[in-house]
Amino acid sequence: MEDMPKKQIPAVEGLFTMPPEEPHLKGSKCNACGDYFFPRVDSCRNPHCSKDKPVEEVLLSRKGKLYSFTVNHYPPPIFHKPDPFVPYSLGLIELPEGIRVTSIIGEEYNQDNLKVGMEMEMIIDKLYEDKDGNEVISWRFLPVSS
Amino acid sequence: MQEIAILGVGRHQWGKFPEKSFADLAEEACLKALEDANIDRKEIEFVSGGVDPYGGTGGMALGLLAGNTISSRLGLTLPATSCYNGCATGGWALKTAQAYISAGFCDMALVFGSSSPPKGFFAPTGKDNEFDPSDFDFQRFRLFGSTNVSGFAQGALRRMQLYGLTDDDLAEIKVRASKYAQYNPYARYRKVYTKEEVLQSPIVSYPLHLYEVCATSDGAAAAVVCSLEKAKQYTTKPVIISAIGIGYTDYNDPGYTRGGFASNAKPAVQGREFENTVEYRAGKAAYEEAGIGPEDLSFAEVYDLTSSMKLDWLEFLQICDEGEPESMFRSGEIELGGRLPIGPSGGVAATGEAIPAQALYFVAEVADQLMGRAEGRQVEGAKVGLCVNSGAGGNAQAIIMKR
Repeated sequence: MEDMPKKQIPAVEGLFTMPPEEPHLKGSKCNACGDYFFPRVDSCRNPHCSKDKPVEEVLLSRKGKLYSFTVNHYPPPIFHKPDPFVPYSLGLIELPEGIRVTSIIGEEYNQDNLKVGMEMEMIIDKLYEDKDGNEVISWRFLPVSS
Repeated sequence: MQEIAILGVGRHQWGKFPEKSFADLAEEACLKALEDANIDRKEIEFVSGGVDPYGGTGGMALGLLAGNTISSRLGLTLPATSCYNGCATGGWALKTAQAYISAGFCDMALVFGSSSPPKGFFAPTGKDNEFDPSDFDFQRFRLFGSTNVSGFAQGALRRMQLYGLTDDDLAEIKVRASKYAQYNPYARYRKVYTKEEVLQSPIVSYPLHLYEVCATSDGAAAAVVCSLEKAKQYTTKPVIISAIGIGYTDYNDPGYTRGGFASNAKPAVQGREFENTVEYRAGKAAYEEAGIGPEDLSFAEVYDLTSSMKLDWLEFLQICDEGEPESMFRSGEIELGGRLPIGPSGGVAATGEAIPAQALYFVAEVADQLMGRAEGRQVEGAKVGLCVNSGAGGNAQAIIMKR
């Protein structure tokens, strides 16, 4: 019997493009003030904006700069990781649009190979496998040089 | 808003008290505050309580109805209210009383906050919100395992890479705090730590070690407050609350440690990065309301949820400029006996945090300092004290008190 191909399910609907599309976060841009938002919004949230123009859906840059990071050494609550737990890094990526977004960086990265300000690039990757063997996927940013 | 007077304060000890409910803790703190104020409790006209989301066991949700719950316990029949604003809860309970007094609705009020949270990381509770993308607080745990400590650690890491904060500094901050805590009867941790002990404690989220991060604690604090006019009946020299400055979320606040997983566009649009925070705006509002500046302070108690946050506050409160707290700490200027003692109680590092009670814990501590009864940790000649808090959801307060 052949193995069923694994299905890829987004961890949260509507936050990012699905493979095989190029990986991008889905945000919004205000056509009046030009500000960007992530996740998407129905109307502009800039209090200084006249709000007389609609917001449009946009794909956000998939490259940004590492604002800061940490390495989690304890398994956080309700986080899906294989047993035994392996420390992993996560951080904040500052996109050219001005948004800072949280991202897992990964088990193979830590204070020895990460530096504030370095260039990062987004991929879509498996977050965990659900009980039916489907891949639940989400975004990760990795150093560009790697 | 009017200045108000503090007639008395009371605190339950901080720690873990599994045999006591939030209401038991609150009752003890309130009775101590009433005794300290030396008034007949019938003179209280209004009760303003901080909600304990962990208090009570459903049904009537006694923790949510904290004001009413404690009024009943004390046999008070009067208007009572309850509020919740994360770590700023106790301060907001106080602000509510200040507003009530300023508006002339009452002359004297009892204010309290109490909490008995579960152990360990704060985590989402209740129903499974797995498929609700708008529940950012839930999704930050699920998508990234981003705990509160992960957020604090990123602040510390940035200080390290930008301003030269070291592992050694982070440990030394805890060591010095523990030296004050040994004299603080309300502290949960009164042991004096060595730098080696701190550095050998496990890393929770790099670069923060377990002993550089505050625990979740049980605790309760209360204060009896009244109008300045009313205070004249009881004392010639009351402790006065000059200002309760409110900081609130701004569009430009990066706010990344406060739940959620993405900031609005254009964080730090203008000025220095820290000027876009709720903590900075709280301090600024308080200085303006009190008509003083950081140079007028005798001491301050800050919300040091981690060793690194203690340094952040020096920037938020304009005590020094961006990137300067590290050298200021190393010089000893902010120690007891130094130019401006910061955290002579040992801070949250010494108590752990009892969320809705913590802001009032510091109000009580500052009151004790101004009354010259902070034994073992007394700031000599303390005249003006500042205490701050910083709450989830974009709440922060800076409270200036004088005597």
